[in-house]
Amino acid sequence: MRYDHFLRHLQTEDAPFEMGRKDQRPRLADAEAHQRAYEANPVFYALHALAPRVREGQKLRLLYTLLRAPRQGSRIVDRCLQHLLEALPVESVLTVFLALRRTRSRRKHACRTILRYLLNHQELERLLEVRRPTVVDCLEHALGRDRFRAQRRRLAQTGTAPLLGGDRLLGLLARLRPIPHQPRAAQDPASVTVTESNRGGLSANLVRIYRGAQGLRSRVEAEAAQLAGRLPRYPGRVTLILDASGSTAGYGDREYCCIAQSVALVRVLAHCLPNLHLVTVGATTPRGEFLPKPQGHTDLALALVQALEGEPELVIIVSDGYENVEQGDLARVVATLPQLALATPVVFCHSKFGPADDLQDRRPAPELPEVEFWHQNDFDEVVYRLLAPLEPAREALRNNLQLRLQRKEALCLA
Amino acid sequence: MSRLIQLDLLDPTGLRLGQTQSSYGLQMIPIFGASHTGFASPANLKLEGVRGGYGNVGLRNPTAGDGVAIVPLHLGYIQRGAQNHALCRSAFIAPGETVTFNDACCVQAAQGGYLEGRDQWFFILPLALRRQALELRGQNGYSKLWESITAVNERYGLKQRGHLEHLLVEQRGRLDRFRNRFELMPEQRGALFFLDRELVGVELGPNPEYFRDVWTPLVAFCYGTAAWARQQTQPLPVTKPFTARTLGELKSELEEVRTLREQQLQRSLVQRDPLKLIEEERYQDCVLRTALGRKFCGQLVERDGKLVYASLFHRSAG
Repeated sequence: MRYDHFLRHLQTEDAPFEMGRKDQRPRLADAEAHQRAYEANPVFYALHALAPRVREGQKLRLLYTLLRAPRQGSRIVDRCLQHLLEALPVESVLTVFLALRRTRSRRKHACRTILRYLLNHQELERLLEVRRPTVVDCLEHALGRDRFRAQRRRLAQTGTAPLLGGDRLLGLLARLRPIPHQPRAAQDPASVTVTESNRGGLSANLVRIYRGAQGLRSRVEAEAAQLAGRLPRYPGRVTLILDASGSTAGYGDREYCCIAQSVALVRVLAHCLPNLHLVTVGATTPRGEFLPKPQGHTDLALALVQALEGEPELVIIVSDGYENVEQGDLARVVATLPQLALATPVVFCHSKFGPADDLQDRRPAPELPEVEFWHQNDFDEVVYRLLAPLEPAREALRNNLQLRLQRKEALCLA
Repeated sequence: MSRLIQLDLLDPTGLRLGQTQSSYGLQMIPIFGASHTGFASPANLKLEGVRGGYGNVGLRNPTAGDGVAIVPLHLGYIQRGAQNHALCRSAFIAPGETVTFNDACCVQAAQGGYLEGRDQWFFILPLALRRQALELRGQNGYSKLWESITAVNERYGLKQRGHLEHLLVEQRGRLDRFRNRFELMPEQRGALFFLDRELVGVELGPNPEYFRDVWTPLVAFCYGTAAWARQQTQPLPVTKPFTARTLGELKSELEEVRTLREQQLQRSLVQRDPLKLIEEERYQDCVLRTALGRKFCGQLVERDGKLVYASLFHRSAG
């Protein structure tokens, strides 16, 4: 699986980490894809625990794959494992541990991870009440059946020893850092009613500027720079086609919302991609004006051809998805690209009002890789998906993943 | 039609056409031209409500000064808890004047209650109902369009009742998308609408402000419904790649295909359909006429021989 496809898979594939009953092995249709990604670069693979918007089921697969594999001796992989154990719900982690048992996978580092996780977990007492058979199975797997049963016999005979009393391992485990309580998840922006003002501060300010507000320009620039500071930076040649046609103005309560969020993304990308060339469809930005005024028709097909003439490394199309010079032209142009021997990746970014927008009938080129955004919190996912097809951008992604890991750890310690 | 097209739309000193937009089998060519002043905006028309029984709709032009209102042809209103109505004809309403349309038709069969006077959004009848509505102008009887509405609803797979709100309200989200698919251009005064590249409608306002007010009702409710009907029966064509082998060839081929499409639309424009014009009403130097052709019909307003307003549509389209 190509890297950009794998990243998209992590962010969109929501299949749960399923275990059958009794002694069945986990049923994972994408196990091979994970294994190959791991073998290609174990450290880069592990860092995807920190990639934006990775689904929980996929994080569990990352954990499972890392625990099944031999220990890499990389500090980064260990930190990623620790992050996964802290970020995932305990019930799901137990499922992964059970999966290790059923696949008879007993790497030393995995066994230690299981023991450390369970014996130091702050909710161990509750787990022993509600998931006792599972916890016992996991401990038995980690310690080995004979050793575990010997411990239990000793416990039964003396009546005073702790569960693993007298074992040197206990001393080792006691020194390990406890698993902290998981912080309460922040309110999901998708759960509230979407308005023009709660789609991120950057977009909200841009809507105000479109409505005529003064004095917000510097604020917008500062916000865009701040957002971009947390994202990967890639200096390659990139062309962005911004759809600023009449339909992106919207109407009613949503007036200017679509174009504002598109412009917000462009402003952030301008920092992340210093060699970004902008092609505006529909509107023109008059001299001295700050923002494109949405108007005119949507000719994405010709814009794409013109963008490719500049031989960029990547073409990004940011649009509301309504193509109307002739619906279907963009799809025909995209279908023709393979026969031109052009390998330039083209990514379609859907600018939406809210998470529930129906994109049916708004996909002018379904063959193109797509990514959606409606809130500035989506920008990190967008940037990762944009850079994923570019081999030279891998280093930038890796560095940013490490930064995310450091930030998470700092947050955890704080 | 031939007269209209030859004398006005293709007249380089009068009206000119913009770039075609096309989506889901519906094409729209914007019309630009000099503005005519002295006309009130349709958005300012005030619904006075149903007065003196169903089928009697009062409209007032509250504009001060000399702005006469041209009531858009086949204007209609929807209100919750009241029987929705649509008009069968256009009319002039002088500044400050209130006109009661006694030949209006109810578009919601099993609903009691009179429309109340208020400022509110309006629709234009779906294309499939316009010929029938025009033929019924001047005839009293609020139930006269129910059978046609039932037939239209049946075609869309909706409940077979004389209730237009099943189409216009329940499918509003679907129809609103046509507002996004087609962009109103700056200074646009009118539009030609085509279904599968066959001319089905000519819409013209006296100035861009007027046309902006009728744009959404036209593109979503009138012609959008027709495009949706086509969309339901005809799947989108399969995407075929161009034959180009280089980027330069691709650009040329794209432009060539677009030129061919334009030529096809132009051929649809020059069809000859002599219109019989019947004078309906005069206001100062403005004349409202009903146009009846073999293929097209509708109403238009001229002032000093210049076309000011037109709403002409294909008799059997939609």
